[in-house]
Amino acid sequence: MATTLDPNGRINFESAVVLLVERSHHSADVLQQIFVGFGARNCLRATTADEAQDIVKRRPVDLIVIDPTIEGGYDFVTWLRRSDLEPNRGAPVIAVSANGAKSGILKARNSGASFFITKPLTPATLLDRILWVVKDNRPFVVSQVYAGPDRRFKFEGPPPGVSARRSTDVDTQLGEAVEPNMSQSEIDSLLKPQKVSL
Amino acid sequence: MRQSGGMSVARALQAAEERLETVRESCMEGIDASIEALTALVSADGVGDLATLYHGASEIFAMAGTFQLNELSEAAGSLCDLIDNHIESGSEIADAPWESARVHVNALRTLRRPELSADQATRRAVLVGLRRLTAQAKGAAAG
Repeated sequence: MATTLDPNGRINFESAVVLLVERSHHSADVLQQIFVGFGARNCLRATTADEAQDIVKRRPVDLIVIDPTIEGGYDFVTWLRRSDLEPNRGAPVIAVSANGAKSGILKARNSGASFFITKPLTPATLLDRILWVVKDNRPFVVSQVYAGPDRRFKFEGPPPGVSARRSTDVDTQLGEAVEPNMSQSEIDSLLKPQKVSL
Repeated sequence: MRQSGGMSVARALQAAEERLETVRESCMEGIDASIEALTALVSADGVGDLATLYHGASEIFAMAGTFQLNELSEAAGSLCDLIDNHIESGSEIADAPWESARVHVNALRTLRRPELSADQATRRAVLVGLRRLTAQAKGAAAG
């Protein structure tokens, strides 16, 4: 998988608390060693959704990496997002799974996961997605049917025929274009300062 | 994670690769154990446990891929698809493509030891054959 990592960029996991939720201890070992390589000193592990619940009830975590296909995995994320556990309810949740089927990805997204990564994992892919999630500034949305990071990545407004659901949505249908798009040179001539000879 | 200090991305990636090597051996043992478990599962008489089969295959797929055992990972991925397609089709467990699953597990056993198995061209042909089996099973389940 292509990454956008800047090799000279800097990361600091020294004080980060990372919760790893994996079915098998070998998979958890892989994740933990990658994070230790990244400099993390506080990796907590859980092999079941119940264990993960116990941990997030007891202490704050900065990042959760979970295989949502463990029993109760998706439900754990939904429960966390709907809980009153601050700051954990808003912690970034990265779902990692060998099953990259669209149905599973949608299920993870709709449960409130921040991002989905398909296995096999590599350190580069994982770090790339972590840095993306850390910079993610999508608002935390709570509605009757969903709680978690805004699932819309683009600000395109509601789908055609659907009423606006938030104050920033434009509730007006845009008509067809009435003239051709401007060329790049026409746009440049409007925006770039030009030298003028007098 | 946003705090100053820490280390460069390049150093972090190198350190992570080095740390992964410390668990390579135990993870290889885990792959071997998973293959043994799958062998027992597809050898059992009657209807096996599809969920256990799937989880075992996905574990091998992920672990082998992380440690660059790409042929083994691809074969395990084909087995995952085989099972997933059957589950998605809504067919009965009794109608699951067990024979194709057995072929996949036998291939996993062979590909786990590439130094002992046939040449690369033959191993590639095995993978093509597995993908064909999975596609045929998908067609049969759909049709």
